[in-house]
Amino acid sequence: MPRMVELEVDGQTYKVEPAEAALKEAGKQGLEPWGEALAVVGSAVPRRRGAEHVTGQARYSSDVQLPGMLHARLLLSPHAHARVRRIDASRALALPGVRAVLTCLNTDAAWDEERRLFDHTLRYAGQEVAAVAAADEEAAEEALELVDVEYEVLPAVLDPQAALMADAPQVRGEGNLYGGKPQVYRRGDVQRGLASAEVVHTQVYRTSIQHHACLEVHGCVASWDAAGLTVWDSTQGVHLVREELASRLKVPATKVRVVAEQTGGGFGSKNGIGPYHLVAVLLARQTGRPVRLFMPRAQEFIASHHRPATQHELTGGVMRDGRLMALVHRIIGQAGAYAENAELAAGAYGATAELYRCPNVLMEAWIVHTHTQSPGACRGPVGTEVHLALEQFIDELAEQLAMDPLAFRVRNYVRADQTRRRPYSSKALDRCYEAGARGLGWRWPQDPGHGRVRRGLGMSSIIWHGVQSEPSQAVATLYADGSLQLTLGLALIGTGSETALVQVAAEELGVSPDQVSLIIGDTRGTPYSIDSSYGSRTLALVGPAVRAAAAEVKRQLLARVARGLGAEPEALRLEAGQIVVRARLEPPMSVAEACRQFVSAPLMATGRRSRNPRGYAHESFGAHFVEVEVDTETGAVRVLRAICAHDSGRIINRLLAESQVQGGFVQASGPALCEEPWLDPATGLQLNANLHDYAVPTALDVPDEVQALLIELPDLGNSIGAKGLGEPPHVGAGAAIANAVAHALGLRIREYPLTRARVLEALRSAREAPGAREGQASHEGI
Amino acid sequence: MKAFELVSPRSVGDAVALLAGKPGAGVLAGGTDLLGLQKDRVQGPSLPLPGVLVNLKRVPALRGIVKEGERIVLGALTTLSQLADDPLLRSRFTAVAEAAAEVGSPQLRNMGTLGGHLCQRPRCAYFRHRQFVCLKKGGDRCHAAEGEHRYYHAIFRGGPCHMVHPSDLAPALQAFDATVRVAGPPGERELPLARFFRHPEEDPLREVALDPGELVTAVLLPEPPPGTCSAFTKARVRQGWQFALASVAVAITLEQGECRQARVILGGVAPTPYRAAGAETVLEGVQPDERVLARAADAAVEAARPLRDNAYKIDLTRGLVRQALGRALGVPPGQVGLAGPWSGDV
Ligand SMILES: Cc1cc2nc3c(=O)[nH]c(=O)nc-3n(C[C@H](O)[C@H](O)[C@H](O)COP(=O)(O)OP(=O)(O)OC[C@H]3O[C@@H](n4cnc5c(N)ncnc54)[C@H](O)[C@@H]3O)c2cc1C
Repeated sequence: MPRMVELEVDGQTYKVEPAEAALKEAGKQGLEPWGEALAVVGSAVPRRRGAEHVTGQARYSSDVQLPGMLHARLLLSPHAHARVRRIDASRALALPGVRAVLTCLNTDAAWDEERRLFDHTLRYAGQEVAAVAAADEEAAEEALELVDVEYEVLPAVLDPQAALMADAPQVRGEGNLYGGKPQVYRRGDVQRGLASAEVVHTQVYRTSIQHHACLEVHGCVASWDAAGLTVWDSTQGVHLVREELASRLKVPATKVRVVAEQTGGGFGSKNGIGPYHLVAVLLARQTGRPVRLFMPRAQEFIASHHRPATQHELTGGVMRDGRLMALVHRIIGQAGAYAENAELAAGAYGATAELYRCPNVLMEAWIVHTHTQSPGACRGPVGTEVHLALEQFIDELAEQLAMDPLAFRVRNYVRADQTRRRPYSSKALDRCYEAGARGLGWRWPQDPGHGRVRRGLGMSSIIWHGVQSEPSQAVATLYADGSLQLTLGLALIGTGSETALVQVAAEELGVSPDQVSLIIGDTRGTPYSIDSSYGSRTLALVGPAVRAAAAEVKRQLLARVARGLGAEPEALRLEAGQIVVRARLEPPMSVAEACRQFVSAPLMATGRRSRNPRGYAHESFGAHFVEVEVDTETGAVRVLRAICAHDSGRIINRLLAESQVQGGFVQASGPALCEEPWLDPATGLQLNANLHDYAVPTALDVPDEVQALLIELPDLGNSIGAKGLGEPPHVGAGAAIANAVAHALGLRIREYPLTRARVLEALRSAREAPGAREGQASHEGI
Repeated sequence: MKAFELVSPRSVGDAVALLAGKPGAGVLAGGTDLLGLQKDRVQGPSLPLPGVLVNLKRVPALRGIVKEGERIVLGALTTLSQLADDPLLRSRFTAVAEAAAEVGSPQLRNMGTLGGHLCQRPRCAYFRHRQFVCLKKGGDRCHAAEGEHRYYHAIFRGGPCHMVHPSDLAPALQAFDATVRVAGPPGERELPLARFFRHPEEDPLREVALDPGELVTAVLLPEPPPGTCSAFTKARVRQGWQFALASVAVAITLEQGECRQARVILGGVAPTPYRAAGAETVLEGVQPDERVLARAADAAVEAARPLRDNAYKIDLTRGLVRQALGRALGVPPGQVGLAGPWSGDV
């Protein structure tokens, strides 16, 4: 049993394990937390092989071409709800070049407990109806048009509100509310809290669907040979894909190899397998040929799933002095047609329960089935939606009190996790507020101006769950010439974490990052570093394993050197890349020299991540501050500046960290301002399933300034002191923008994105509202 | 993409002969629109996918910007980048150069040609979606009327098909009274740009008045009267790579401070470029000041009949008209408290 000590936070006493105790367990000799003066960690090392990406030389799985390879295409349901009455593939099979057609008639492989890979009943527009493999893409495409399907179109319900009506068509035959009841989080007594509050306020917010819009579409190349199955996949995690394929196909994991040299974007959408993996694998097995199945862009919008549309009703009770007494948050999320991923539709957890000191909280997540594709994880899943609503509502509560929204947040600051009753392993949100406010020049009250163009400032807090204890392994091999090889079982998803991991190893071993090479992106021969890179975990999860591996080869090296020199191992130190022997006259020696002199066979070690110290909650924090300009005549919103302050623990690579923040902010500004699917209200078909009409921000939409302020407070939770940074910048950006727009206009639009259409409509209703004075409509619902 | 036969004539005559000899053949210029339609298999009972494409890119006579008497001739193969960068257009036909510069993205402007631009197909998502057989493909209804129509559908003169003409250049060219030159089996003909575009009431299947076998060879611009200034403004969903939610081209001829002739042409709001005659009437014969501009902007949208979800385009268009007029007349943007008639910001 670990030794626990008492820690007092905000007047409460918690029992925690001293962080050093957990670190001591790591590796053979234990690890000290890093100090301040580090050589490689923290510096802006350019991304490894970055040049290959920008010059088009990087090889993705979608570039893989194999001899004799066939090309597959999927036929997707054009109806939201239908039964396949008849399906005839004979005309398609007769087309020259066509090798196989899979349909519900000849394939009864299951997808999951609920449905077959090709089912007779189709419950969303986009569900798989058939698949074709042919000698080239054109023939496959042509063949799809020759698969004759007769559908019996059934009544469908596309909207979650409608799906909750008593007479709504049943999606899964057990009522359309997932689990039969809402998911609930409760703390204290909200009725009492609201009754005691001096001001009570309620608002409703709606967020829209967001697609990942990965540049590399979803897909894989599957090939069987005597050794088993090899899949070149566009994925966030080779090991998770291997596990899932092996278990689906009932073959040993060792017979499945998954390769992903580079992945062209995932954002949560490429964890594990989708139906298309199984289709490619089955077609490859049936035809005895390698099969390539990558989505055409229009189908990519189905394959990736999406961030769901949500509705939020928030009620808050506050005292005049700014104390938050109660929060009630009811979320309706759209689960799609199946149970898979339903819990990504909405959840009764996260920011509302954690971000502010509040004794009474009730969260309810109503997860509703509709005849639509199910949601998927999308950069900051659930949390992004919750922040969009909550962080605007917090602003509105502050407005009710005529209080500076930043001061209101500070008033309700909290240092411990109220949901799990644990102190945070680190929390520098207060410093984020300070730095961000200073960086932007936060002022209150604001003066949006009176002309055609108004300006507004807005801000938002961010909380994002960090890495809890999970195992991770890394292998380090030090060669006689002083070069170090890291072998890691993870995929390169574009964040550059591999560069940061190399820095961790280089730091520990006292070598330059150029001396380190990587074997990565392949299940063959790599340790299980991570199942898949989701949840902003890769660096904070794998980094400590890498450090442990490097520390262990360092120990082995020093032992060799000590033996060679006839010194005690304890007398040797590795400092600033030089091995020094205490109390002896030998000149300091670099690691490379030491290897050449004392290492014959390579030194090798597997590093394991130590567990997190017990008793803490691990979270990343941040605060975004933005300035926007709104043209009240044409409804155009432009983000002028964004100051993004983040508490993500120790920053391993400044350049990559800043890029994550900028990318996250820009990606989130899409669904805040311009990006949304157009769904045909009659059929549920997406009308703009292309990268032209589905308007993700372009280079011209990026604000002139997106500044990352990285507040470095090394975290106690792991040996490298890092917390996650992949998702947090995406989580808070939308609410900060929306708050700034509301302050610029003096009225609030509670539906996203804030398109010109919505801005102009809101301004018109404010003008036409009886007794409305422009710019004074802040408490009016629109 | 479905395979097709590509033929590359070297002269306008050969091109016309080839088109006449291969009914259903398509005309290929930069291919930025046409190849997208082929790849997406946009087809229907009255819209077969062409199996033969007649490539115009090898016809030298269609290239270039030249003077022909009192008129400027813009060859059909002139790229949008060339139009945007041409010094003469930039100084004398500012709205045209500005409109060209607002099209899509640099890549598109380098590939896209003037002829192809005027003959591009609408951006209505139902028209371009495989699963919908709309009026334009030979179907029996306009799905946008009751469906999704917030962005690229009409607020003026919509119906039976509610698409809008997507071109940015068309309103600007029309503001300068441009003429289109067409070659066909009987020879050459010219027609005013305003009559080149066809309303769906006449024929929902085609947006332009080209007979089978005809192609556009040039667009001609007459010298504008002295004292003419112009501007083009456009609003879109995001800053780049997007069609107009609404656009406005204005050309104003001033004589001693008084507006002698006004052209206010709206894009992206009607099935053809829409001439806001009411706004022109307000402007003509008076000294344009802030109040006149606001009245002209109101008059421009007077006849609007929006669909269920696109009424915001009325406000948008009004704002763009005022901003375009202000820009053309050289009112400094955002200026407040300026001496003279301009007291507000434009
Ligand atoms: C992603 C994207 C964004 C765009 N954004 C904008 C925008 O913001 N604003 C805007 O106005 N436009 C925009 N466009 C449209 C663009 O301007 C046109 O695609 C382009 O100008 C067409 O020129 P092209 O030479 O490539 O034509 P092609 O694609 O070769 O041809 C287009 C059509 O015209 C016909 N055609 C071509 N030349 C002739 C001729 N000489 N005579 C008769 N018929 C002919 C073809 O048969 C075809 O039907 C965009 C297009 C795309 C693909």
